[in-house]
Amino acid sequence: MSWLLPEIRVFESPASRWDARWKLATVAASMMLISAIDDWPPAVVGFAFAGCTTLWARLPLLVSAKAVVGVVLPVAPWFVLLPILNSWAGAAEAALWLFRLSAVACFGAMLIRSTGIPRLLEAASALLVPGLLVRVAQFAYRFAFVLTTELRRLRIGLFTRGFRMRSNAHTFQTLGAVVGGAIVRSEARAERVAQAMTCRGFHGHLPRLTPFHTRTADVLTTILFLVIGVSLACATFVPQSWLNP
Amino acid sequence: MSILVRDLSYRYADGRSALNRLSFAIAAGERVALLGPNGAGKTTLFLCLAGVLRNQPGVVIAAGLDPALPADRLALPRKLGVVFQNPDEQLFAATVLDDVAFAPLNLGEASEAARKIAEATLTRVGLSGFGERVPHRLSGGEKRRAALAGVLVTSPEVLLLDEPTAALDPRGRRELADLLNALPGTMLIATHNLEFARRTCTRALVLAEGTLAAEGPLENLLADEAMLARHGLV
Repeated sequence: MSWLLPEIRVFESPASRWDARWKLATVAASMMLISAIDDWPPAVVGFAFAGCTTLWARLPLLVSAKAVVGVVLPVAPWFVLLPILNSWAGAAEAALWLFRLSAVACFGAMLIRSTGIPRLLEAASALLVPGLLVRVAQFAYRFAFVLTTELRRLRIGLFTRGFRMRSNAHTFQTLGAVVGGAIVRSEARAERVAQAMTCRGFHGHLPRLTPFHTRTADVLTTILFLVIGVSLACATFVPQSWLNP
Repeated sequence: MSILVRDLSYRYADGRSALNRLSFAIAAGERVALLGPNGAGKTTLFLCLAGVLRNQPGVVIAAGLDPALPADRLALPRKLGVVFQNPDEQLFAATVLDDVAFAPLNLGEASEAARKIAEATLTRVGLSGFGERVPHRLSGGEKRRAALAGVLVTSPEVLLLDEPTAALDPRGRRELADLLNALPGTMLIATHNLEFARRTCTRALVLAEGTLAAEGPLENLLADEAMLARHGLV
């Protein structure tokens, strides 16, 4: 098992050229609209639409599949397995959850893999998400890599001194000491990072090197996404008499 | 005078004394090595000069500015640059270019101008084409150069370098020395590496337990083996 965080690769595509602010706002709205769907045919169409956006973003199938599994698997016991075991109606409910969750996962994968976390956080800041929250996320993202590299070194250090993972008190004490030490060191590191930033003129605002530009295509793409999302959400509330005259 | 320190003392919150009535002066354009064992107070001195640690007794003037005054402290990042010991604690942005452009953007440059200056500085330190790389995937030497670029980008009059040779191989040390020798301005370089100090500096200050134990021409100090041994430098 590797303790190093994997790099998030950004794929070049028309989706990657979509202004990150518009993209973030639109995809967040689309996720909410898909989540509001309460009937399985619109949910299937929603999932198909979300799947198409991953193709538009030129994501390899494996990347999209991993995202779907990553979102569905943790909640599957409660939202998929239990309803299926309950009744046929439960199975239909499980299918509905499966499609909604998969659609949300596809949207998320498209958003992250066509933008990258740092640019997404800049977009969030531009969309008036509280600055402190964005800065904490930015630093957490940057230093998560440093922290995992340190943990990996500590792990190698432990193994070279004969430590082996077992289910005993010594293992838990050692792991506790390693994690505790890493946290304490992070606190000291945070102070030194703050000092380095102060020396470079930081006064509480993280400036953006690449400004955002809105193009006509960005607005049109947003409108298209919202029209589809709203239509699907509304389809849930269409009276059955309209569908079966 | 580029750096003036008079009767500077600093005590940590736990009561430990880091600097004790320290006094020295460095003329404009001088290259000075700051020698001393671990815990001698070198980093604390740098933080006092940069205005990060304040409210200490004594006088500090760096690049003609007094870090104790709020207005001078705001202007200080433009005139004084600090390269920290661990580049991972200095490189915090998502890409190398973002990191190098951080200081000019903070100091009010437009984004296009900041990008141009940052790219030119990266070329100057031999990292041309590294702008879009993520800092955590750089080698130790590349991180060191990127951190140096992040400071040189504002063309500071005074440069403080804290253990710049840490984790560098001999070639990296040689290249860094050449790079520093090509730069203008005043430099105060804290180092344990006497060979590196010899390559880059003409004068030295020896710090021990927060006080100035010796100062003078570097070659004279390096010839005093007894003094070097007394302060754990050989």
